[in-house]
Amino acid sequence: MISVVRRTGAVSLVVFAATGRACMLLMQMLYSIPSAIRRYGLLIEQLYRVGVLTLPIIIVAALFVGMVLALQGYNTLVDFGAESSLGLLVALSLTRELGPVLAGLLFAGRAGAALTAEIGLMKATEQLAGMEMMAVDPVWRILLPRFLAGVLSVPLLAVLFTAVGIFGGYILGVDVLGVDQGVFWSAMQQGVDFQQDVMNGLLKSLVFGVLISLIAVFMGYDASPTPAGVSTATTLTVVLSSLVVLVMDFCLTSMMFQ
Amino acid sequence: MKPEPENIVTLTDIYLQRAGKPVLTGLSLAVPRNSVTAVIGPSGVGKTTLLELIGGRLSPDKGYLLVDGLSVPDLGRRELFALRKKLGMLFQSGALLNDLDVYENIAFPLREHTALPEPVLRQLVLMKLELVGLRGARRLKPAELSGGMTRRVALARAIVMDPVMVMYDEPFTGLDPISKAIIVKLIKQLNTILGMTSIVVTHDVHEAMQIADFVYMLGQGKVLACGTPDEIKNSGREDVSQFLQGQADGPVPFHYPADDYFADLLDGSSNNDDASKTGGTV
Amino acid sequence: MQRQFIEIIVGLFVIAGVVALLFLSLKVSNLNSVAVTDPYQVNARFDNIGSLKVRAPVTMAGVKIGRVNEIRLDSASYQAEVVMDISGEYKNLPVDSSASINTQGLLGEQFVSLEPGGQQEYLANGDHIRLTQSAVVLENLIGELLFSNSQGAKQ
Repeated sequence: MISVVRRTGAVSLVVFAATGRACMLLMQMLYSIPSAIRRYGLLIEQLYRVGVLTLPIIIVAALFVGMVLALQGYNTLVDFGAESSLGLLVALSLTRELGPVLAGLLFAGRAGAALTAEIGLMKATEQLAGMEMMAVDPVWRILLPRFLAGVLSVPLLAVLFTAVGIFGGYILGVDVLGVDQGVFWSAMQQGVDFQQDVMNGLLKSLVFGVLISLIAVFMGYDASPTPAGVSTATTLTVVLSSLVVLVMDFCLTSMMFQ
Repeated sequence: MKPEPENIVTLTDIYLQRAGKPVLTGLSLAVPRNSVTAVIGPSGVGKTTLLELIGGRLSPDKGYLLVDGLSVPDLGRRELFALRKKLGMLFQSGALLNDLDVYENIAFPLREHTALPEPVLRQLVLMKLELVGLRGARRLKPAELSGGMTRRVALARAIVMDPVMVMYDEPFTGLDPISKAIIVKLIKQLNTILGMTSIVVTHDVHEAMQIADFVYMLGQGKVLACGTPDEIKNSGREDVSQFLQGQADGPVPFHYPADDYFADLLDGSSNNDDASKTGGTV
Repeated sequence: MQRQFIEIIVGLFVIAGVVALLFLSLKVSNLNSVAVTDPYQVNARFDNIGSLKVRAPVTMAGVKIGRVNEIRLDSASYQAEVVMDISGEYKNLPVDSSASINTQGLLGEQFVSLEPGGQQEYLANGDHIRLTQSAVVLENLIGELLFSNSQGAKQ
């Protein structure tokens, strides 16, 4: 019994220490933004590797999620004679929740893991140490561009996810299931509020972007410089990012949609 | 302790613990300018730690450390980075940036720290490549290089900013005889041509003795012996001669500390070694 | 060259994101119809506003001419006071117009519908609409129906 308490304490200390280090890394990165502004080429390269390369998986996933929403939504709404609200259902589900959350999860799995692995590997092969000895600070040269790329990419990907998802829902709802096209869009337009739904969804995805990117970059930087260490860090990034996204989604939703 | 201008690096009475275990216990050494100074000793004695101290990546718990007149542990971030621009370091693994080819790897410090126009930069890089004999390999990627070539590229990168001092961490380890001979030749040549100081940390005694002007042998967290290669060879100390001659047993024992042999063999009842009971490992 | 390609692709990525956001704003949400141009305020009191919400549309003859700005309880008359923003396009609403709270469809959102009166004087900023009809509360309606049914059954 005591050992359980002791272990909990020990684990908590590790978690707190890691969280502290992560916050310090965030501060370091933000502090070095002014001097890194002129190297915006690094950011663009990372936007490509982190954002653009995640795009295919986002589009495919969004298409299918939209279609499933339309299908399931229709099956349920038709019992109440309310299938004219299908467009509204699909749009609200995507803008408020599924767009930001699923884009975040997919990003964590595809780009977050890749970032952690890349940075961890650089640490294990002494590339980061080598850079330090060449008087180049890896925090702004390597970590910051990747972090910023993630922060910018996740909202973009979330918005694209939502848009493609609605399109998928439209294809299935109108072309396949026979919901009237005009009603599909008009019910949607009346019920989806720009500030409440679209903007809040965007805000959520921004928060997710910051958290996922920080976790990915920190886990790589903090990893044990061994193959096992890098692999653990990569797994941890995906798991932790996913959980953080889901928990924060609940917190943000309860704050935004009362 | 007043800094002597003829020593570019001075360590005085350095104590350092890592992960609770003492690594350096009262280490003092001085590296004369323009020399090739070798630091030799068995694995784990703290040779790499020494380089990390000089480079400012670690701070000593006690003691003084001066590099080129500056007290490294007291330097702020900016000053430390300014000092590092004057130093070159060759890591055991080469530590080349994997995404860049050979040319870009060597050009990296120049691009980061100077605003040299491209043609000038190109000439500098090519000159360094020529010095290490790899000018023709400049478009290869690190993954395509052999171990020896990787180290040569890393060496070229370490000297591209014309440093005052270069530190070599185990430069001979894991190389075939030809590559080894090349590196030995390069370290000595570059030190003379470029007027630098070189600190070579290694356990390859033979190679170290070939090129060193000055040798420090480390053991038990301190300096056991120092002097010119001849002085070291003729030192009467047992631990030094065991190391230099590569004897399997001596002051550094063959056996890892263990209980009495016969007692262990005959002790059938404790059965702590029974793997089937503890479930075994991977 | 490699660098140029990357920059172009990233540019396209960002543009695609912005386009998607525009799509969401204009085609999916009610951004277009939310803002009321050049509004002037008119208010009305109701006995019961039902489930009328702020930002609900204000219509006349089915056309949206404004939206509900504020809903509060008038503590003097214990009636609900509804403040409406009417678009400046429609400055010729007669002072004796009436306001009623209707429901979209059977179960939809509630909105304010204005019926024009006959006077030549027009509503201006801060004016009051005196003729109002409260929202139909579904439960009361069903209660009435049951009540009248049972009355009919008795007879």
